[in-house]
Amino acid sequence: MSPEQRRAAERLAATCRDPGTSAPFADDSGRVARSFDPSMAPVLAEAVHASRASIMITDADLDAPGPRIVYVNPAFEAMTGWRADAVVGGDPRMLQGPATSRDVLDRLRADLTTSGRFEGEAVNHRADGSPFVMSWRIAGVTGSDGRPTHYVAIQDDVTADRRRAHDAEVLVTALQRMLLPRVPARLGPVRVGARFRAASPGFPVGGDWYDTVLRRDGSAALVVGDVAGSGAEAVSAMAALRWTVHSLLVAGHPIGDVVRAADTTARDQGWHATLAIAVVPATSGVPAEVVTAGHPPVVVLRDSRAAAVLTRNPMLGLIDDPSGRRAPDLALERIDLEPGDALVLVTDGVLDGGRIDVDDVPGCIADRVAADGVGGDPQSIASAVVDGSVPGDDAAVLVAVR
Amino acid sequence: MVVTLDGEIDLDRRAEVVGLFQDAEATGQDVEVDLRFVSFMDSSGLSAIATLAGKLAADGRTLTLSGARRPVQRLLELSGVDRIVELR
Repeated sequence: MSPEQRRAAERLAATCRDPGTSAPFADDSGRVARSFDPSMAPVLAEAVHASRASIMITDADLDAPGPRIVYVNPAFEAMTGWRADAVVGGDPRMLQGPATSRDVLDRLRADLTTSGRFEGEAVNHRADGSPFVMSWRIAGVTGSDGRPTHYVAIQDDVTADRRRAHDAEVLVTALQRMLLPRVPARLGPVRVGARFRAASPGFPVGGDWYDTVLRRDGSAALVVGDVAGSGAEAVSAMAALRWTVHSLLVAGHPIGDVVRAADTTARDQGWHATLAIAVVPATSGVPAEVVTAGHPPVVVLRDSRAAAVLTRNPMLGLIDDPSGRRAPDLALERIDLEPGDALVLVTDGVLDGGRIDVDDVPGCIADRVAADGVGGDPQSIASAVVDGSVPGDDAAVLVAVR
Repeated sequence: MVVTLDGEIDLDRRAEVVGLFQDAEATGQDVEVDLRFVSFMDSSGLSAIATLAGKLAADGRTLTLSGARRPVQRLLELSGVDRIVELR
């Protein structure tokens, strides 16, 4: 095995999806060895020989030097590059290498000893040393005394599947880090916490986003948005809107202009999205600004009381009317924040997919925070608000405490 | 051309609703969407309505929403969809 093959094998090892346990096989009750008509033996042998699945049969001696191979079919030869006459009489370790999981091999032996069957996955090597991911299951064949006489291994090369799945996972993780990053604990004048729950844990990026921006004037901008739709299209739209809003906020544009620019992007692309932005100035005594566009209200928590801030602007994509006339000025709200006040920005996934009436949103958020008794910590408030909701949709919460 | 929707119009039913709307758009007539039996609508439903309204408007046709119950009415207002359709 060349150093390159060895490195390739180590990379492949990261893609393996070993189940960790050997599940019972579909029909374990009537083993072939006990139930088939002996006159069928030549037919079954032919079936094994013609099978497209790689099949290896060994004797049942698990002690060193290990089981002896008594048969491999042509599919095994094709998959591994090993010729039958070169491997029969030897042991299966010629398929293993340094990247072959020791844990899986240990489990193989343990499972065969206790239950006579095994299924697992590990990096194996072909005759030329090249690595591949093999998924295989082994069934024991028992003799008339009930003791195993042979093991039958059915083997699949799952390298391409695992590599694809692994690549997709790497991509999703990178997207998630870029689009739903950790928020800083402190952002200028506020302490910040965020929590996101994906509708589908296997694909933890969707149309919802949150973002925090420290503006040039030292103010803190908090953003939560939600693109209608799902899948790759919604993720692309979300990324575009997220960075449109982010860049303009960094540059210090008034939030009304930021919303208009995002609306134009959405309209041009045929997207619809809702958005909430709150900007907390660097100096206390200056009111915070809030804008919502088709979005659930921003909630201000002060002690145990909660108030909604809602500006009745249409969702992004609908702010300029279809005739192209410019819509009236965007509605903004200014609110005075006292030290300890918490601003809570949510997407409708937190509101049980929007099933909570708009008017009930502040009470609902205050109840969840009170039930959790989390005090003034923004991260704990964010967690309480998400965890108190019914799972189903993507759910994002961003909390800032002055 | 009247399209009657029912139940909860959310992401799970987006494809179905978009299909119905495309059929309605293809008739070349004004479209009325009857929301009497709709108990809830999420942003994907609102987006499908807004998209249909935009296409019809570009063609000089109108989209009317009828019978929206209060929770749905609130969502139409919150999203601004109420500004681009006729409500009845």
